Amino acid sequence: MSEIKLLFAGPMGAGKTTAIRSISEIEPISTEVENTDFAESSKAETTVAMDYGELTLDTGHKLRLYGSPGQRRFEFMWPLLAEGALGVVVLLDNSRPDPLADLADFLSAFGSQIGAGRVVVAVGRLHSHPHPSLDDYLDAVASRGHFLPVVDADVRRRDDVIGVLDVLFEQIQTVDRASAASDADEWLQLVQRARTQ
Amino acid sequence: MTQISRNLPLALKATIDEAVRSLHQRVPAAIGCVIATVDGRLVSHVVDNEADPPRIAAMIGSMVALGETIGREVRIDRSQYVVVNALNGTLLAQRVPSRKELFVVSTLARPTTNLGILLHETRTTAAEIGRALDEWLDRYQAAAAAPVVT
Amino acid sequence: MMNTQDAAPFSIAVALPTYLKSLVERMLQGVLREQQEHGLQWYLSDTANADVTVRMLGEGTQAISPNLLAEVRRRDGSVDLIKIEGPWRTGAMALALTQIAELLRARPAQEKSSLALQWLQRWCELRAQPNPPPVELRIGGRLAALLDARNASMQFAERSTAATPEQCIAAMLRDGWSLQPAPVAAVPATRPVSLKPLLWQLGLQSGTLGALPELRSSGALRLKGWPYLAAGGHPSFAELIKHLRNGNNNRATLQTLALAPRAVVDGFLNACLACEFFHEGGAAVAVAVAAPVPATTQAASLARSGDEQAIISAIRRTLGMGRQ
Repeated sequence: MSEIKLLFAGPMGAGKTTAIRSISEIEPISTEVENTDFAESSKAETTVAMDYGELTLDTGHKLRLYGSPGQRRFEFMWPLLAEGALGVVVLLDNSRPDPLADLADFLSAFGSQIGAGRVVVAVGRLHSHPHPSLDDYLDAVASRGHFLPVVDADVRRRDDVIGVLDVLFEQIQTVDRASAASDADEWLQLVQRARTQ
Repeated sequence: MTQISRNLPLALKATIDEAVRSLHQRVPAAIGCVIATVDGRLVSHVVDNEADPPRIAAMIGSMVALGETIGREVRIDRSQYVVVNALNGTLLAQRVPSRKELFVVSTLARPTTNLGILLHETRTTAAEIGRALDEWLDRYQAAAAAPVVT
Repeated sequence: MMNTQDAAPFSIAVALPTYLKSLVERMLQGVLREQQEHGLQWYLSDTANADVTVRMLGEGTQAISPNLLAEVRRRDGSVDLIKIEGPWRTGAMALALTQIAELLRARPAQEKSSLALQWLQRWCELRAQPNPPPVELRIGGRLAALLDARNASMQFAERSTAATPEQCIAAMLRDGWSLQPAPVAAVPATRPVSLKPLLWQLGLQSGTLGALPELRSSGALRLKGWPYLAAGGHPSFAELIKHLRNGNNNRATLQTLALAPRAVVDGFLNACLACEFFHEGGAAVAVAVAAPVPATTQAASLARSGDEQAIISAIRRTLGMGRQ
């Protein structure tokens, strides 16, 4: 694996920079500029390219942490940043006007990563804004034919961020084991070869 | 001024539109010119090919900001402009210099274009828009600070 | 928080050589009087019948130790040992006795599981009725919350009675509980909250006693989506979730896979059932014997994902995450 990276995606204000900061050993590098669209958000600044953080693992490798810009006009960045990522954390903000629409945007953007079991959705501000509920998210994900973890998290708490990554890694490891086992099925290999011909 | 409204004041928009048209005419082999806010929203454009102006607006916002970030990180200080040189043309983008940095301007030209002219003309247009913006800001702030006559 | 005595006064016996026995008994008298002020009652007794027997640490060995050992005989017959180091130090005996009292009061796990299973069975009964009415949860005879089966929500009787699932379960164990259809009455003014966290905890607890009746049929179990309450749970949950995605398994087949102790699997299934995380009625599933995987091909493909596994383990270690 050439680059070890995790992508934090999600709409503006959902906490991507905060999440990265909680585990990065460097102060996150951001490409923030003045926010000129107060209809979108009251934040003074907004990310227009990416956030970047790093963590050196005990093996000496570097884990690279990327945050994508949240507005839909930057969706060209999302697949670029997701390419080769170990996993994608989609952070949602339940205080936004239509969190389920936000969910839909990000599910469409990361379809292939979802299929490979590499996406987890973490919903913030559920306690102050209980609707939609986690059951609603569960229904919304299922109605799109997907199966992926949706959990409650407050990214201002490092333990919550780590909890979300724990769920992501459990997913990845389980899917990896499953695909390794099925690869060993000679009949399945035959079928797959036939399909590509 | 703490906020910029979604809709630019008409006078300023008119100036920017005119500057864009003029730039497009001055640069030989120009394909288009796009003005965006620093956070990637389309302000004004003239585009001859099938490129999508709102997408270009978002991308040049990202490019300029990324160029500046890289400049800082590699210790060559603030990036002044960003160039993408490709098989079928060249894109040059830079910030509009003004007291309040709100806009980026970009010019798209065919491969036959002279990079020097592209840079010069884009920079001229950026400065023009910057002056118009500063004048507008002065007027706005003067109006805001004016004593209310009772 | 008030320490409530849960049974008749606790008895303590001192089984020490004569020269020490009276010394320790005198120390104890002082401490026991203090404990009474905190609502804990103890009395001195003989070793045959006492709840707690204090002995020398290293009794019967050559090692001479100034420390004591307390043998705590619990309600379910099990015996716990507590070391009391430096018993002559101020507060050491008092602390030890408080810890011992906690042990004696603690309910054996069996009682918790039994409560959980009965509670869920009762809830499933009430929920299965057509147009299920609101249900009163009474704890210790007093109305604790009003439960709504349709929305899986609960409203605490007053803001002051609001409790976490653990607190609720502890209160029910201590004071008794009942679930009854509510007579037409005033609805509490408190905000409804999700009932699922409580249902989930009860589900997990009930696992040691087996599966809820609905799970014992051969119908396939298929998860509607990823069960969000499973986050942070037993390491086997990820595997169980994977096997419950496609509707190819039921309780029996999952147990044969031996992904986790039976109690954990049953607890997980009970919890999912209680929270309505399964699709309605699946086709019957026969217990299939897993096909043996050829060793050579498996080794090759495992090597591929091995890199990634190693990386994830490294990230886990670096971030101080529990399991690897």
